[in-house]
Amino acid sequence: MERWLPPALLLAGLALWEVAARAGWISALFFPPPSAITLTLLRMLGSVDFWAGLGSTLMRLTAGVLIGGGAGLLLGWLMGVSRPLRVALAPLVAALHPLPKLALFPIVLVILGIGESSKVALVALTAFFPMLLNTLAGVQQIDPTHWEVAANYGATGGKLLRRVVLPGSLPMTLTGLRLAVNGALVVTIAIEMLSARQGLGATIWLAWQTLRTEDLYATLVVIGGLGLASNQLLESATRLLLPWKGKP
Amino acid sequence: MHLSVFHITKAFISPRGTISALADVTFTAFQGEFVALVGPSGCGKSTLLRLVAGLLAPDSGQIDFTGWPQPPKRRLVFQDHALFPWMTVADNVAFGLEMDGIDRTDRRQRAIAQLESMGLAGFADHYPHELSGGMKQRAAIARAFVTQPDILLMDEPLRALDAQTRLVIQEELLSLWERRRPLVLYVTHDIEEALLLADRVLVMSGRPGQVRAEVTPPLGRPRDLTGRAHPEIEESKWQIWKLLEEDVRRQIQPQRVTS
Amino acid sequence: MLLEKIVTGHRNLFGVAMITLMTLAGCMPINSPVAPPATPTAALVPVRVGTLPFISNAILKLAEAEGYFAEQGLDVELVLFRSPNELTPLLIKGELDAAAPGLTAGFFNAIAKGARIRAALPLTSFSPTSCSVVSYLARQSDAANGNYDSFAQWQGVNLGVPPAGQEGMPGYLTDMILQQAGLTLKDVTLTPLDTSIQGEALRSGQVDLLYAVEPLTTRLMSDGDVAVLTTGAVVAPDLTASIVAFGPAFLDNPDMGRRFAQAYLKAVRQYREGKTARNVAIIAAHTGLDPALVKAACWVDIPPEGAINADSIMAYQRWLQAQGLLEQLVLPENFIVQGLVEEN
Repeated sequence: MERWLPPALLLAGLALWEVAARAGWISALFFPPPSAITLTLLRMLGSVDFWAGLGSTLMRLTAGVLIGGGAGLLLGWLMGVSRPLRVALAPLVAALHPLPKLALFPIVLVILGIGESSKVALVALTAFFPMLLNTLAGVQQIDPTHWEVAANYGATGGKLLRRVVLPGSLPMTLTGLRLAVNGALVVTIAIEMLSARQGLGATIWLAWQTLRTEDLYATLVVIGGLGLASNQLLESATRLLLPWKGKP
Repeated sequence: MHLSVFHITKAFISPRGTISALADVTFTAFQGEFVALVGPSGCGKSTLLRLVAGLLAPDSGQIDFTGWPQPPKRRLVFQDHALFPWMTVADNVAFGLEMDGIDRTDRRQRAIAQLESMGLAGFADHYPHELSGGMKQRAAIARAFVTQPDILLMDEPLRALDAQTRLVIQEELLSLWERRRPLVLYVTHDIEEALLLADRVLVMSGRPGQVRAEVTPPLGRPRDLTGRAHPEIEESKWQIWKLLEEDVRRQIQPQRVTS
Repeated sequence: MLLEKIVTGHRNLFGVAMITLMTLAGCMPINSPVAPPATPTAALVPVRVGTLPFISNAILKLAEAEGYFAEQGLDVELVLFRSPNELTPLLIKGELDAAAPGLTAGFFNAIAKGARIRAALPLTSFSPTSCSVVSYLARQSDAANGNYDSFAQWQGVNLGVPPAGQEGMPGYLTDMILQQAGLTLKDVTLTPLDTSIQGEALRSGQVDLLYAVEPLTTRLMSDGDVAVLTTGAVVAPDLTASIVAFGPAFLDNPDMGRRFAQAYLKAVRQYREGKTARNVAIIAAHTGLDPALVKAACWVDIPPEGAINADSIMAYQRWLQAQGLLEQLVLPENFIVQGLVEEN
């Protein structure tokens, strides 16, 4: 029963919206009926431009998450195992983490130029921090007894990293990855609105420029779908990578 | 081959002040011996094991391993099984072998053989969370034994288990030990357990810990523990209890922590 | 300065995001949906006008600061925005009674779909006789080398334009330049650049040419390393490039609209007196720019008689339509307020 409640509510809401827009109770210019949005979406899905735009967005997102997330992962491990490194970098990380990354965009542009690299850099910066902080927390919450076992059984260097640090922090790392992807998606779209010729964000910007609100909503539906898909994917990955996570 | 502990002291610095865990501990234990350490909680038994294991360094004093390869292989068994939740039982048991650089097939074979000898082979590819408390602790014991340590350090390994399970594992432990007879230092605060398992029982005083006395249970080897009463150890039990009683009573009275 | 620009750039985005959110949530700002019908009594009629921190929009501040609106019985509240994108929706919704939204495809599309907004008064107007607020810039070294002696040499250049510029006036003007040399927009790359980095992008060679709007041109020219290739006024003389639009309240109440226009034109007359200390001070205060820069910059030409060049906007609309941005052309009588000023 409960399974069907959310979709039922959604459908009811959409039906109400449709009626309200068609009857003129709400402005069809700003709230075009869902049927019109659906048609626009279908038309979009059939156009080459849309797929090229989606491709650009996904490229930026993927590259940013791989670069920024990868760097965050590595530094998270290193800071987790090295107390001096942690003590040295923790204040810097704490200070830089909450900075609005978008505010840095012009500076990144000046440094890296106006091409893809500056956009990817900002996405990477956004993905970096959640990955770093969660991985670090993941390493730090490894049971002290497990560190003792590792030390007592002679685990050092690569073996320690591969068999203890990595798997021990993996649950938190995956949480970090999810946060990184979600944050990166938001920033990717935002940067595209600011400065891209292609991509879902650019489509949104154009939809505002032309006040074609159906295009806007259709694109938002796609972005929502993207968020949903990435979360589903990560959930499956989590189940696959953490078979032991039935219970700690 | 013997282990000599000379005048060891160890203190910990905490926000509330310096806590002296061990004060001037001295004893000797020999290859092939099963030595139990009993004492009230907080007497530094666990600290002593970690010092012998090399996980901690003493503030003063000396620990010598005479006659063993240097350094001798010392492996700990912890209070709570301390299995890695992300490894299967077989991988956990093989962990020490893996760290010793033994290749994958060989170590897997040895781990399975160890598990087989303990009747756990059927759980080799399970994760720890799928096992009962007793099975987990047995897997942890297997992990230590399979590496064939020179010195086995056991920190209240059966503490969290119910009485029946303990009895079964105690027997199993003795039979495992009989095969190679490494030196065992076995920390417990169960006096009867100490007497039933050990060749010698070192009785420690409360904080800061010191070895107060040594009691030798009147039992031969090999021992048969199966469900039988052991009237011959009653005298030793009483003797140890009198040594500990004052410390235990003091511990359960309200008192101020002095720093 | 840079920091301010960064914040501005950021807010543009934030603004759009907010509108998006508000629109999604179905809750536009709930503050007073404006002006009661005008019975011109002693009490001033409250009016809300959206402005942008640009030199052009300072004309609205001037009318307010000099009391010209009050003379007409209007109690004008100026609301400052960072981005023109928010103005059109707010005008349609009646949250604003007047503002200078960009002449985007969206403006005309909204009217075609029945939105009650109209162009009322001309703002930026290109005139071949005055300075130009829109310039095409190149690096001085390139210009001196003769790299851009003819428009045909623009083939393959990378041109920096304001964000979303390709779909608006910058795209239109650029296309007209290219047409003169038999080229099209496909022959060049338009790179959207935030205002904050336009100058840097040109200097560092990340773009070859820059579509610059005042006061950026003046600022860049003062360092002597950039050159003006051509200007908007040369490309499209007599184009009405931006307008002040009315929302539903002024359209429902022509008298109020006329009084607003009277005040506006009075301000235009004062503005056209030139760079008087008073005018400079007001514009500097409104834009937050250094008074010296305001004084040096080219000021938007605002026609004194309040006439919108409808033909020029129709030509622009045809271009928008050809780009696939416009569903249909909107005729002057449908997008310009009729009978607002005598000369019209």
